[in-house]
Amino acid sequence: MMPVKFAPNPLFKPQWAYSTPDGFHDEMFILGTFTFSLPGSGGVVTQDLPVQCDDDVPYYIRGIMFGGNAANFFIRIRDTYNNPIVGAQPAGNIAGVLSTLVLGVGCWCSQTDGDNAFGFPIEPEVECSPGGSVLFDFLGTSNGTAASVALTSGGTTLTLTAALMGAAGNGATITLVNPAAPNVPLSVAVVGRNVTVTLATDGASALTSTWLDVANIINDTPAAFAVMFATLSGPPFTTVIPAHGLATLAGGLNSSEPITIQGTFIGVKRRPNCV
Amino acid sequence: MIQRHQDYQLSIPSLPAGGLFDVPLQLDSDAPFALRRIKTRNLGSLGQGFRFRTPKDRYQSTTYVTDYTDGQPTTGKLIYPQMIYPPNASIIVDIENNTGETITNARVLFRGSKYYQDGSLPIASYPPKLSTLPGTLQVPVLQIPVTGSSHAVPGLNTAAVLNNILNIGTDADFAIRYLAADPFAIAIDGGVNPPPQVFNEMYVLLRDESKKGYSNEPIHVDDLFGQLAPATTANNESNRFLPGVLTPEIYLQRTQALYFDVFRDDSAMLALGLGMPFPVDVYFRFQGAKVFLRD
Repeated sequence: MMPVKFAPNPLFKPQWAYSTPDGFHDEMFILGTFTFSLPGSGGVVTQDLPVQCDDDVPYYIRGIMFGGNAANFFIRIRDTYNNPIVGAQPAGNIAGVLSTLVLGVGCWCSQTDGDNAFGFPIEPEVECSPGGSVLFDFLGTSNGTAASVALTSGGTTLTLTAALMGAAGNGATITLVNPAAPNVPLSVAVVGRNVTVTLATDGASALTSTWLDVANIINDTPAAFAVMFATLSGPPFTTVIPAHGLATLAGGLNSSEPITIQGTFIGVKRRPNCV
Repeated sequence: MIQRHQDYQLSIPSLPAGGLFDVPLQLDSDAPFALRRIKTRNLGSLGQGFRFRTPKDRYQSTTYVTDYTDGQPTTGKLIYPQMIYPPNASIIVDIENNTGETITNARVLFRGSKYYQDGSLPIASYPPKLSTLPGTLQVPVLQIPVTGSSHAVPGLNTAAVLNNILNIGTDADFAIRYLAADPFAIAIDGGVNPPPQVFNEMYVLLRDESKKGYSNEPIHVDDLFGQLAPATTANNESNRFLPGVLTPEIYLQRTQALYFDVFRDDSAMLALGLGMPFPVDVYFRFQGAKVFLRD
């Protein structure tokens, strides 16, 4: 299939033009670095962040690089004609906006430590009108800290992490109770934000619940899972877990700073040849 | 001639010490298969290789080969020029195992294309006059369970989330050229703090609008949707943009849909030291070009 030649038209959809059309020449041009600042609290859609192109000639985007303090986010990018080139056109209400953002820009944009710059090809290339603005929409995750507490014994750790992000997760409690009675089944009870696990015993009143049993019953009980979730480290997890007095989840912090995202467009400026 | 993307996977749930010889991978009877790339799971990472026979029933290599390079995974072993197997043929495979132990769930993935005669399939393609624009369409599949009772993936007891639909539903046709998929969930201060979004054994079966599959069995999401290794944990700094490339691309008209089934069995994840498994939200992205019809 032959590429369609450049044909300026204010109503057009951008052209597929790998080869420079007759009468023009392309010059490599880097647009950026541009910087966006997003709310660090997470869950907030930030819309219509512009990156303005130079007003001399059309600019053809062929790639984008993101780096800096990029966090996990959903994104939409619209060209200077408001066509989405990543994501879809928003449907108006907030639910419509959320459903039309996509995760990352083609790759896993996982890092918050500034090490992991990543690039993404824009293919076919996208024409930007002179002086026009490419628009970015973002939905980021929180860069706060979740409250947690770790119960450790014999090299194995049961970590309880708050199901609420940030400071709201502080103050939840966990207790592992030795019932001191024979043949008690493993159970979990939730009162407010206090989770109490009653450990199982055998006929001699000895504890029999394992680390894995306790983690599973917390994660599989909706009332408890709505307060905290359990993770394990330091196998094996099949040894008996000891009782533990009341422990409070702490250390939860709301985001203290915005998320900064830096990016660069890679492409060409298309200039008419001199007569 | 019509080309249609096709994956054939040979799964060996239990590969005995000493390996297996002359294992047949039965190909479909509806079309020839052009083999272009080979990738393995649970073989190259253990230093084990494979060899297979060509359509002329000759070994493709004198010794076992691996799709790993210097102990590192690759996107697969290129087969160039392509090898065309006739309909209803078998690819005969020898699989190495000199570890002295049984290898679980060894898989050899043969990637390529089926060839059909013109007119034998209702395949859409580009209009005579068109414009294109880059595009990404996303289908979230939320709360994929840790495990289940489906046996669609040999050797695993998977949860099955079936008939997920990619509706094009835009003002343009869509040419799917590459795929990406990642687990993710938003955390909000004072709101939800999702548990770790991590998986290890997740497989996907792509199907066209008539539910005809693009593979003989579900393919691991990292092989089909990209990434070198199952490095889907949040703190892997070595991740790069390595999408799953479809060759040839899948062209869908604006009124058409693509189906895909998702299978997951991470019941062994904790024992493998990969963390506590939780239900995950995975965002499947279908990326390529919107194709606009021009007057």
